Amino acid sequence: MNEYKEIQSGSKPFKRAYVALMLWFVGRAIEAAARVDAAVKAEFDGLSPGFTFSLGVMPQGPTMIVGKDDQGLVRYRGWDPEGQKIDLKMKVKNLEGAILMFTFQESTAMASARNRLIVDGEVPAACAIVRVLDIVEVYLLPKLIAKLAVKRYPDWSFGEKIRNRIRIYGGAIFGL
Amino acid sequence: MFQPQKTYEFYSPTKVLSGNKALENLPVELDGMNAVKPLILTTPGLSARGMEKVMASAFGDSNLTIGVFAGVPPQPDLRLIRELYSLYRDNGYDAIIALGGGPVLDTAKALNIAVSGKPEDLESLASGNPLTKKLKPLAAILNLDLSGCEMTRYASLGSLSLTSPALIPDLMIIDPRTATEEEQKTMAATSLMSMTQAVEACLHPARNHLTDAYAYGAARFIMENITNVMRNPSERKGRLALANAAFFAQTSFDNLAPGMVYELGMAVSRSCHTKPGLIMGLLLPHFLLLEMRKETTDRKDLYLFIGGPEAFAGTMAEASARKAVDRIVEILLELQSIVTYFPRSIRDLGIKKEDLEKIVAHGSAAGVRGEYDPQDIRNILEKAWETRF
Repeated sequence: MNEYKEIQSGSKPFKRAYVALMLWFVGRAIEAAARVDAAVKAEFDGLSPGFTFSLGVMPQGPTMIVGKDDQGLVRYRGWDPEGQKIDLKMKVKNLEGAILMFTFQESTAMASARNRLIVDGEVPAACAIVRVLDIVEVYLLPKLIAKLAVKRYPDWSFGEKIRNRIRIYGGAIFGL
Repeated sequence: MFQPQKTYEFYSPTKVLSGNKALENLPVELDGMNAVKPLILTTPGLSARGMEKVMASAFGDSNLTIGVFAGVPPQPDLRLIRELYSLYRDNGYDAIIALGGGPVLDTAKALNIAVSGKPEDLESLASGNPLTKKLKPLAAILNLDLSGCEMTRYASLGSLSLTSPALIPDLMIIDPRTATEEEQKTMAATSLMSMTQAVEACLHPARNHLTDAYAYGAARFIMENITNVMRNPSERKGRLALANAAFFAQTSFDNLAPGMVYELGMAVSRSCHTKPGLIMGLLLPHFLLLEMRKETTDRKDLYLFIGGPEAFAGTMAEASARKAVDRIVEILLELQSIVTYFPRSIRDLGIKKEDLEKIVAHGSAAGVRGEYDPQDIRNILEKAWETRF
């Protein structure tokens, strides 16, 4: 059977690295946003004590993990789910789906609607996290791009948005 | 009154993934079916067009090993299935992915029967015994060169006709990278086959609201896109619509007995070795005119399927059936002006008038199961032979 062969699935190191970087950055930005933005803080306050969620790519990552600590503060908890109790797992079905999300060609809401995400956990908590991601994306991205990434662009005052954006970027990059 | 029929059945076990990056879901979907080592079946032609690379990329980062057999011939036979059976078993595969249409799906369905039990089960099924084993996962990745039976319970392998609902693929994927441009005539044949299946489903006496819904989707996809895709085959959305139409049409067709035009198209195709879809397209208007004349159907809204809601709403009820036929003829005329060597009658395909009687005999005996009068079949065939659109 000359027409038969076995092939190994290809790898996509650059796309994988890009998504890993974005997840790391967004994870740290969520931690910063929970300190800076009242709406993000309120979303996390509404979740159970110690609530932890992961957002990752199937089948083998990358992943980011964010959760509340004993004091109720939101912390980025790295990429390794090993040994962590995770209440909500949000998994993008494949790397290409994650690229569509993290290059903002598709909003989180649209990706969910197109069934690109698998959610393992409570639906209200997942909705809260999608709202948090929307808010964080508004802070991280210029309006032109953020409008593609979120369902509805919020009507915030310019000054407040810039102040919070600087603090969130500072928190995400320098851990301030 | 919009009410369900007193009794009806409908079966479609297929999960559908269609659109941009749909192929990338394969690893997750296979995992959901407890499969980790799939064997891809395809044709040398599709392999030469780089489909293996597309598949390897779709499985990117999954760490899976994939087998590829790119030697499915136009007429697969039992010998091939036995060879593939050994290959599948010896290498520990646990799922089949059929990439392509027609013979690829026939091979995949037959192989699935063999590897889920033993190769002898094929002959057993062909002789009317039911399948006793649950089949392995089967995914179909459709292109635009289709036979009309890919997503149905039917498969044929040489002289064996295999029929079982278990043969319907578990998963169907339509992705712009695999539903690529084919020759215009091939895409036209695939679409006219789907159109015939949809129209016959919506006129079928055993139709129900679900077969209607699928037939409506298929008819609308085709009528809105067929000529655009023929004029501009690189039009991605249009190609996806035509591939989706094939699934919709085949699902409605699969839930009803094959219709007269379908059976006659297959019979004529065997006599002249032309794609059956082209023949069905030529037969369809004559069949509809006959139905109109004989008033055999109580369907008053065929034009809703063919012309769409706006055109249907603007048409007098008594003119609706005629408008449906006219619209199909318009599409055929447009196809003739766009597609090179598109036949204008079945005479153009080398069918001799004296051959028609043999086809009538076949149609009224094996094909249409006595549902139709041989005189009607003769009438349609003669009209399709004499009339040049």
